[in-house]
Amino acid sequence: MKKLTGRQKTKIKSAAFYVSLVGLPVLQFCIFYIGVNLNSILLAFKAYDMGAGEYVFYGLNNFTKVFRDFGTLAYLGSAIKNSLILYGVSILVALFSTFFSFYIYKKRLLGGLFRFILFLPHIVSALVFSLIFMYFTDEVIPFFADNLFHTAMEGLISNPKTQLGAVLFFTFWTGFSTQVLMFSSSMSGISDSVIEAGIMDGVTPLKEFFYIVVPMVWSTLCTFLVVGVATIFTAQMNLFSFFGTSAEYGVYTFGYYLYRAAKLAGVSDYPYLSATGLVLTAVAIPLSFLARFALGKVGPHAD
Amino acid sequence: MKKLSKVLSVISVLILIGAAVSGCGRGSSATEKIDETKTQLYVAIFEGGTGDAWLKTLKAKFERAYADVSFENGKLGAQIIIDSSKNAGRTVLDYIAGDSNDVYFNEGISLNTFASQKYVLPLDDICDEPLSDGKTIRSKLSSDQITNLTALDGHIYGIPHYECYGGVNYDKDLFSSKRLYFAYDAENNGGEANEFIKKSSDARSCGPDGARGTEDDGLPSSLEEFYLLMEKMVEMSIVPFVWTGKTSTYTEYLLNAFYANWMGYEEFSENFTFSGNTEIISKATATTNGYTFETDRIDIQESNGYMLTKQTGRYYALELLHKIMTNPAYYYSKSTQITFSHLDAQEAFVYSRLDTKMQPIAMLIDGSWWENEASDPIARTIKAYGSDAENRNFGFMPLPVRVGGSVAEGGGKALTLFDHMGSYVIINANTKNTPKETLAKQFVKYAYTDENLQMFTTTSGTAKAVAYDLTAEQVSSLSPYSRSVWNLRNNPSVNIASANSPNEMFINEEVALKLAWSSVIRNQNYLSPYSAFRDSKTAYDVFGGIYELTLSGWSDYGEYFKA
Repeated sequence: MKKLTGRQKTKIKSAAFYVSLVGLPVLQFCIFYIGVNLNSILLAFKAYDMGAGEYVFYGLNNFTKVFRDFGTLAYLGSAIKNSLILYGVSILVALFSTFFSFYIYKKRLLGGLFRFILFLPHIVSALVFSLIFMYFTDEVIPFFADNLFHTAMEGLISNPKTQLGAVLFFTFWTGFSTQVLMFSSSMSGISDSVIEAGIMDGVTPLKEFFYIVVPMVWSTLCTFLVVGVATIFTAQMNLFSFFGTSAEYGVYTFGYYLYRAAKLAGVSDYPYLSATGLVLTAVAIPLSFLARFALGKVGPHAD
Repeated sequence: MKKLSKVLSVISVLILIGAAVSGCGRGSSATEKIDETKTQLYVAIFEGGTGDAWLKTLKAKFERAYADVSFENGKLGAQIIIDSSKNAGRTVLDYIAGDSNDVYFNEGISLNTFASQKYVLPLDDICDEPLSDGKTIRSKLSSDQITNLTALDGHIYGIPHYECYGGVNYDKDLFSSKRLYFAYDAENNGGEANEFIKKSSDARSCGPDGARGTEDDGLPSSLEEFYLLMEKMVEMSIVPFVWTGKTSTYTEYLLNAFYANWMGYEEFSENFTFSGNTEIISKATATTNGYTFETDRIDIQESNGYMLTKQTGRYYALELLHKIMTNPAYYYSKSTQITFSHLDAQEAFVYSRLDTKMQPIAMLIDGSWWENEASDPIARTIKAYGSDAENRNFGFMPLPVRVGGSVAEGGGKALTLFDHMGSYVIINANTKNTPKETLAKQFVKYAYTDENLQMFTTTSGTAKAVAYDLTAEQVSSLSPYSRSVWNLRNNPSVNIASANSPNEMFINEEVALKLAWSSVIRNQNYLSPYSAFRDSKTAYDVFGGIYELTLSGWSDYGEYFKA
């Protein structure tokens, strides 16, 4: 048997090392991404036969049901509306958070403290934080309203009229910090010489923000907005943390609808949910590309 | 340095693999030390209202009884390892194929789904083998149970475990001390008065079942009486109801309990069998006081199953809940708060009559397992209030069966309870052809001997959903509440409905066809009547909305009725 040379041994060792390091993630990717998604796509064309105990070909019937339900089930309309509101508000918050990030970036009064406070929700788990928020809005605020203003008030999460607003507020309060951290980190990468040159040219802080900082972080902002479009139909708005599977239809988002449906579904329901997922993906993909194209066209450029 | 980083990387990968593989193991609660000389049987249990004290007792008894029996070569005896978790049936379905628990006592189990996917073993053999009490498990099942259990392919894949009913629980001591029972009207054979007893010794009305000397004596037999009762409670500064605001599911317990009892076993069960004849509301005429209804009887089959949403009992159940929810004096102020859990509601109910800072609460909407679940607050009240808090008399309330007046003696309706739990014991198919299979089957057989069924009830306060009796001594050892429930379910005239059926459409579409209370009203969907009433919708709005929503999706089941 031919003896391996030192170079060959090194090559084999390197290959073995590479496989041991990359093998598991690749395997995981193949099973849990390619396999699961492929199975999900195929499932959309099947139905479960309880007697035979297997999925059988069902043609396009699941898609027919999905399109019919989009037209007839009012809560799906409400879910689309809430998902779009969620995205719309996220754009507003993104704009506001860039202002705020600029404030922190410029190290103005209490900027560091604000950064710390904003990061707090991320130290505590989302579920615990939503519980704290729920108790605060349902117990503490009514308590103060009663004792300070002698006004009987229902909890903001319990009251169907304020529920959506309260959950939206929570979502953006907790999401705001992520954006601020992201934008302020992106801003800190701006070369000091660029800023100094601007100051020497006599730009005001407002002009510095609009004509120097925003163009320099525009790609980060774009990424955030495009990813937001791609996740319009999967964003849950923390509804599961607040309500479990019992959220009212009035606050549904599409992400919550799908998650809840999958959690409660029987084997017969998975094909319908797969078809719904495919339809929504078919909508989200062109929307995301369109958003990316539009933002690339309309946005400011660093040069 | 380069070598070191490689070693560290490999170690990291191994740790990751280890962590991933360890996730495939059993639940963390199964921590008992393994006895290598015995064969282990892993028994998973849903840690709910019935607790696990009974299983611990069963484990000790079984291990003792089978200490000298070998289930595999080189080992003697069995070790039962209990894995308590909060995972109910639907969650278990997701992981049972890769789980190493052998036996599951659980609830919320869609048995046909487990069986169809070959996740569980058929249990026909142990159902027909004689138990140590000389009977068979099959002999302890009713004919309806056997029909439903074997509907998929003729085999039995699960044996009914516990039997629980959602509904109204009431404080009997409060009812007695405040004279909240209706009086027996001797002149009218008990059928007219609508008056309350004046002293504790007064004869009580017949109650909904129309028979004197039964559990429901003096309780409201009509909606009119129920409303009078709530008014009287408010006049006496008693809060009629408390329930959890965390989920609308509990208010649906009230709806289901009322609906089942109003329609009776046969007509209520049509919601799952889609076969029979039933009374529906065919026409409603608006009046200044609400609506007057015309009713009709129609035949039900798969093609018009949506008409069951027009059953009279469904409307009156909605009317009752609407009446309760639209007057804040009728319910505890926290009952609409999302932070007020079912455990909080139980605690408020238990404390209210003893705590002078609280108004007494007369009724709790919860399941028949609630007292076992509330053992902590009950123990605390005994510590705080002494003898006043001991041996509290709570009861499970049979609900009204007519709109106005009072049920006359002999003119009542046998109670129908709705067991909505879907609770079964199943054996994991992974045990097939292993020594565990024999052990698991032996253990299940052992759990269904009369002696151990009785032990289950005396320990948990809950009945098993099979036929067996308790001795007089055992009945008296139950808490007053458990005794009240036992006496109700053990009455020969009582019917116990469940969401099961041999109907092919129901078997295939079980999740979608579960008893629905969701509605669509003027293009707005409501998950439950609870939320619709909170949005100022009327009972009739919701009644119509449930019909509209059900009808809109009924064509999905067309394959079952298009010949």
